[in-house]
Amino acid sequence: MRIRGFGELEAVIMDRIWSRDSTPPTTVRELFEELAAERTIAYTTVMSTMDNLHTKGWLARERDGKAYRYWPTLSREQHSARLMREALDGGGSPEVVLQHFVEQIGAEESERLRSVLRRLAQGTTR
Amino acid sequence: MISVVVGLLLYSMAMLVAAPPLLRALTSSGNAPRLGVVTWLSAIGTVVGSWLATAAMVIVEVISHWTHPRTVAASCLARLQRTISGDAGIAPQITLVVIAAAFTVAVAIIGMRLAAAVLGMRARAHEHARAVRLVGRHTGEANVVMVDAAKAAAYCVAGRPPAIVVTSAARAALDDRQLAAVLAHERAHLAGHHAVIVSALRALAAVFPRLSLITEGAQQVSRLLEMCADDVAARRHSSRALLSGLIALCTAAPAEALAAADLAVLARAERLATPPAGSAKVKTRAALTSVVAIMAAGPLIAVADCIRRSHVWGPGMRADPHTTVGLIAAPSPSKALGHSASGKVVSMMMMMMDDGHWGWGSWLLTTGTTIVFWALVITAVVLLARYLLSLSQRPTGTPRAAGASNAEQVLAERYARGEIDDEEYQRRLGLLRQNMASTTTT
Repeated sequence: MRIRGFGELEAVIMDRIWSRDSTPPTTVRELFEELAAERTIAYTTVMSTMDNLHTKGWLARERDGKAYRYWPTLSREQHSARLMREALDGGGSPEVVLQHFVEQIGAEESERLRSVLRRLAQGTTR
Repeated sequence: MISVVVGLLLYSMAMLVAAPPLLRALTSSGNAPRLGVVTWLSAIGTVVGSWLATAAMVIVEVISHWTHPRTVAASCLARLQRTISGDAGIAPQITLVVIAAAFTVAVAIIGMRLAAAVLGMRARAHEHARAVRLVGRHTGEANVVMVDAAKAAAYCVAGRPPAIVVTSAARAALDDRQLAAVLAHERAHLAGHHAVIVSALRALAAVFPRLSLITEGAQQVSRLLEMCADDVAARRHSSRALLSGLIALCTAAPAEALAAADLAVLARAERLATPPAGSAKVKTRAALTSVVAIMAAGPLIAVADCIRRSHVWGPGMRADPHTTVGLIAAPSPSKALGHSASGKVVSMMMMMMDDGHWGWGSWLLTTGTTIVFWALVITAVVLLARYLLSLSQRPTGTPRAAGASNAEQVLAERYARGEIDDEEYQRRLGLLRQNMASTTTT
C-alpha cells in the first residue's frame, strides 16, 4: 500500500497506535519496524510524523531512556464522538461550515417530513 | 460627488428593503437554483459594492482637495462645515482629516472582521477535515471516510484535501446505489467550492446581523446550493436513487430536537419526485435574469438619475461667489440627458466639481423626487415579478400539497400540545392521508 501525502501517514500511524494494546506505550522504533515490514519508509519520517502528532495534541509522550514512548491522548471513539458533536449538534459557538446531505431537524418536523416523504416514495414507485 | 453618493445610497437602501421578499418569492420554487444563487449573490454584491464605492469616493474627494483646502468649499462636506461653523471657522484640513480617517477606519474594521470570520471558518473546516481523516476509516473511494456514529449523517467539509464523511449508521441505512448518489451530491459541493460561498455569506451575516438581505441571503443560498448539488447527482445517477437516499437518511435520522431547520429537505424531495416543468423553468429563468439585469444597471441608473436631477434643479439656486472653483463648463440639462454612456461619465465627473452650485433647498427637492421615482420603479418590478411568478406556479400542484401538509401540521401541533392522544392522532392522520390519496389519484 502506498502512502499518499503526509496526512495519510498520520492516519496510518494513529490507526496502528489505536489498534495496539497501549500498555506499554509505543516507541518510534517499534512502530517503524511494524510499518517497514509492509512498505519502504524511513525511520526519520515516522519519527517526525509522530513528533508532529504530539505537537498537535493527538499523542502524549514520555521520555524513556534515549527514546520517547507515545500513547494516544484520546481513544478513537472519544475523537469520533467529539467530531460528530461538532458536525451534527447544530455546531458549537464557533461553527464549522459543513454541507450536510440532510440537515438535522427537530422531532415534529421530522415526523411531518417522513409522512410526506413516504407519500412521495409511493408516488415514485407507482 | 454628492449626487453620485446619494444615488448609490438610495440604490442600496432600495435593495435592502425590496430585494429580500422579491428574491425569496422568485427563488423559493427551486426551478433554477443556480441562477437563483447568482441573483442573491449579485443583489448582495451590488449593495456591498455601492457602499465601498461611496466610501472610496468620499476618501478620494477629501484627498483630492487636500492641497487646496480653500477649494474645499466646492465639496458638500465643507459646505456642511461652513453651514455649521460660519465661513471657514475651523481649519478645513482638520475636518477633512477627521472625515477621511472615519471612513478609512470604518472600511478597515469591517474588512478585518470579515477576513477574520472567513479565515476562522476556513481554519476550523480544515482542522475538522484533518481530524476526521485521522479518526475515520478510509474507504476505497477518494476523500471518503467512514466514522462510527449512531446518527445517520453524510456531509462534506472543505480542507486540503477535503473530506466526505459518512457515518456508520448512514452507511447501514443506504444501499450501494443510494450511497453513490449521496456521494455524488457531496462531490458536487466540493467541486463547486460551495463552502467558500457559504462561509463568505455567513461572515457577512455575522458582521451585518440586522440586514435581512444578507442574513436571509445566506440561508437561501445554502438552500439553493443543496438543490444545485441535487441536480448534479440526479444527472449522474438518477433522481430516484437520490430521492430514496434522501428518504432513507431522513427515516434513519433519530427524531431528536436539534437545531431548528426549515423544511428545505421537503422542498428538495418534492423537486426530485416531480421535477419542475420546462415552461416553469423558463419563466423563472426569465424573471431572474431580468432581476439580475436591473440590479446590475441599478447603481448606474440611480447615479445618472441623481446627476440629471441635480442639473435640472441646480442652475436655479443661489451661486456662492466663493465656490466657483468647480466651474468647468457645467453641462446643460439637455446635454446631460442626451449623452452617450461615456459622456455621462464625464458629466458625472464634472458634477462632482459642480456640486457647490445648488443649495440645501434644491438638494431636498432632488432627493424627494428621486425617492418617489425609485419607489415607482421598485413597485413596478415587484408587480412584474409577482405576475411572472403567478404564471410559473399555476401549473404545479403545490397549493394542494401545502394544504395537505398544513392539515397534518395542525394535527401534529395538537398532538404535541397534548390535546389529543396517540390513538386519536393516528386515526386522524390515517383519515387525512386516505383523503389526500383519493384526491391525488382522482
